[in-house]
Amino acid sequence: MRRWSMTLVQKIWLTMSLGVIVTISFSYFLSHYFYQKLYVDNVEKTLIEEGKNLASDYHGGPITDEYRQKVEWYNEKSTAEILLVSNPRELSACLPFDIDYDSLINEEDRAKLLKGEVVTKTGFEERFGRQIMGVIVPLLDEQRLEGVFYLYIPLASIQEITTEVAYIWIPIAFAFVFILLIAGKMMADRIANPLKEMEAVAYKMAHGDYKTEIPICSNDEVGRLAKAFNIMAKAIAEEDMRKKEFLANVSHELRTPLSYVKGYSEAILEGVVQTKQSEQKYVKLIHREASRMERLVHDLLDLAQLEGEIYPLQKIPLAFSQVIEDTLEKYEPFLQEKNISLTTELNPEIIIEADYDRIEQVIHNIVDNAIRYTPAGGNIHIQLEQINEHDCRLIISDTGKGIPKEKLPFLGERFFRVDKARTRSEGGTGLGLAITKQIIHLHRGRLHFKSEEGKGTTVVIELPTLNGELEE
Amino acid sequence: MKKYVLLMMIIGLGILAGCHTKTFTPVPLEMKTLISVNIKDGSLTFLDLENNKVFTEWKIKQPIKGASLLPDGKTLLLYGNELDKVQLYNLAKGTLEREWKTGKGIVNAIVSNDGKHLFFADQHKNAVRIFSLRGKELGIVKVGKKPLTLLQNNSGTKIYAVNFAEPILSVIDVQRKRVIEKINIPKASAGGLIREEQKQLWIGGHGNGKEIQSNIHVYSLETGKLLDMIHAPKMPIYFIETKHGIFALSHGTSMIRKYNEHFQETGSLQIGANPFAMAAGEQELYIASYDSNEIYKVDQQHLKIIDKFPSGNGPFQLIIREGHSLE
Repeated sequence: MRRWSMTLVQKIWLTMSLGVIVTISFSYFLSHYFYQKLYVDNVEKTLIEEGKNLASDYHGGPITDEYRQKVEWYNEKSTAEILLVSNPRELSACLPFDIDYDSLINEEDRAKLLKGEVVTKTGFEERFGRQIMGVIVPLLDEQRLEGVFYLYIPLASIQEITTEVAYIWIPIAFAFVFILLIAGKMMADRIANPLKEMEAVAYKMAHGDYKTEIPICSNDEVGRLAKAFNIMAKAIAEEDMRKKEFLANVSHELRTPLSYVKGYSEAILEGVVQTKQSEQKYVKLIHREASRMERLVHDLLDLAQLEGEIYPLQKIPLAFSQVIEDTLEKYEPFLQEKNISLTTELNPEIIIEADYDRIEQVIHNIVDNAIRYTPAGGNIHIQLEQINEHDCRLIISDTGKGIPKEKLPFLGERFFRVDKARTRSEGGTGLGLAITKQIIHLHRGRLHFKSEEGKGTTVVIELPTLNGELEE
Repeated sequence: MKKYVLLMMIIGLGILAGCHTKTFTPVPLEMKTLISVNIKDGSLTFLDLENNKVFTEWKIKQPIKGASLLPDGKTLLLYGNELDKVQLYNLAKGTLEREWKTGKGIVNAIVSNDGKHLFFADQHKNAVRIFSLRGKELGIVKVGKKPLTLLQNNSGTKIYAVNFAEPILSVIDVQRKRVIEKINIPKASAGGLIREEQKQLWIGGHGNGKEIQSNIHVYSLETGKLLDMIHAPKMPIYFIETKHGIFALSHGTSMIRKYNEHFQETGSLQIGANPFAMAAGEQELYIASYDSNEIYKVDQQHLKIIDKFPSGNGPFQLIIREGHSLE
């Protein structure tokens, strides 16, 4: 069975519509109720007051003609009908005799009046043949009910007023509902349209199109969601681009040695190589290229592992200066060969908690580069210092040819080479700095580069010391 | 409708209450007692006339309209037009002794002066019903519409039934059990007095429709002709004659008036609120004030209020029970 489902717009609109209709009808009934109640109550209060005022002129004894005339005069002037009733029959005085007479007041009313209470009546009164709002005020001479004031006004006039109000009220209410419903529809659309666009864009992205952007028309939740969606789409597009670039790079890097291997081996197989000496030379070349490929694959694996974030570092407390010195020892022959002087300025007290092999790899990669790009007679300076309680700084600067400023931000990206011409022949895979950056990142450190073309390059590594690590 | 609901409730209550007989405070036989029948709450108030105080109140809680004391002085018969039976209470024991199935419509009951019969005014049957003191129905005499007031001659052989809804008074011969004479009276008449020696019949009333009765009509007992009209506003409805004069009670103005043999007013007193009933003692009158739930004691000679007592809700009838010696 397929469930009938509503769209968000329908849901929002329906909720709003229901809300509006319920509120309007409720307010209608409420106002109607209060109007009627307040108005009728007010009329009742006025009548009671008037009746009591009239009754206050009665001072006991039989009702005199003079008093009756006064009341008649007042009745002519008053908006309410005022009856002065003193006929005991009308006052239900003969009730126990079961007289077949429709008295103005019944037994219940009489009991109340005898207690001096005012009786109120709302509704149809047979005696007057119409709906009335009336009050009955007793005229008591001690305990004798000498008479009553019966004050009433026809109820029709009250209802006329309420209906008049209803005539004005209902069209306004309808217009109001209509406007609110349209506004509600517009608002629901406004909320839902960006969502619909997001949906379309998401489908496009699923098909590999990352270019479409959602227009942002508001700064509310939906607007922010659209913004986040755009950022996400951009990030995915970039990642996709990087992936493509990476694959292109990898295939490019592998293609060169492969073509060497293929070319030389074909030459040998086809007997182009005639001397044993040449053959030896070709096999050496094949071996060199195979090693390059091996290094490349090794570095790629290494980087993939490091980028996996879950790479387990074998962290132990290390005397940083010691690690540096141990690493530099291996370079002494190369330095002498290239006639490069090495100066160090290491603070021996700095202890870091790090993976020995990885830190060695970092120093190795950087020093390797420094030696590679520093001309004979140049200088490499290595400095290790404490910057504050928690961090230390390792500065490796050379007097090489430097790196152009615009290329600095790309250092550390995979397969990025400052000088594309000096490529593979010098043995680098183009992944060294990427690996370095990742290792520093895993050690919660920072890596940055300063360089001035023709003067040299400075690599700055900041790492948390053992103190800092503990405190964190 | 309202009455019907009330009746249903009362019947329901009656069924519930019928499971065990209720006992009220006994009224000693030797005590001179004034009994007030209060119809709004269906109760009886007993005044001890020797000590001038309220003795007890019986809350019968039934739609009773009146009572009649049987000649034994201890059996009180209660009736009401909404009750389908009359009830006989033993005052000395405070218990309901007997009930006679009469059907609804009984609005008045009197014991004949010879002590042999009971007469009921039945508004459903529009008749006067004659019963023996043991509850046996001896006869039924059709009268006018809605008989209400029952009067009798001194010997108890003639009954005068005042019909409320018809301008006729029916005279019944008890022996022959039939109407022997009709006297034209005003409509909605109520209350009356037989003055056998003077051959006068005094009739009071409420007046018909909007018109209010303000006169006492005096008729000749012999000819049935109207002899005189005595001004007694408004609505004279109860009469008593004693050695001090004739007393007429007008409930519309709450007035009691005293007359002499020549129909001259010799005194008057405004008393209570909407009084309906009187009872006469030796020197005093008791008057039931219906709206204020009071019983007034008035000196007959000077028409002065001597005392007043609280009663149950809506006192409508007063009966004096003389003290009986215990033998």
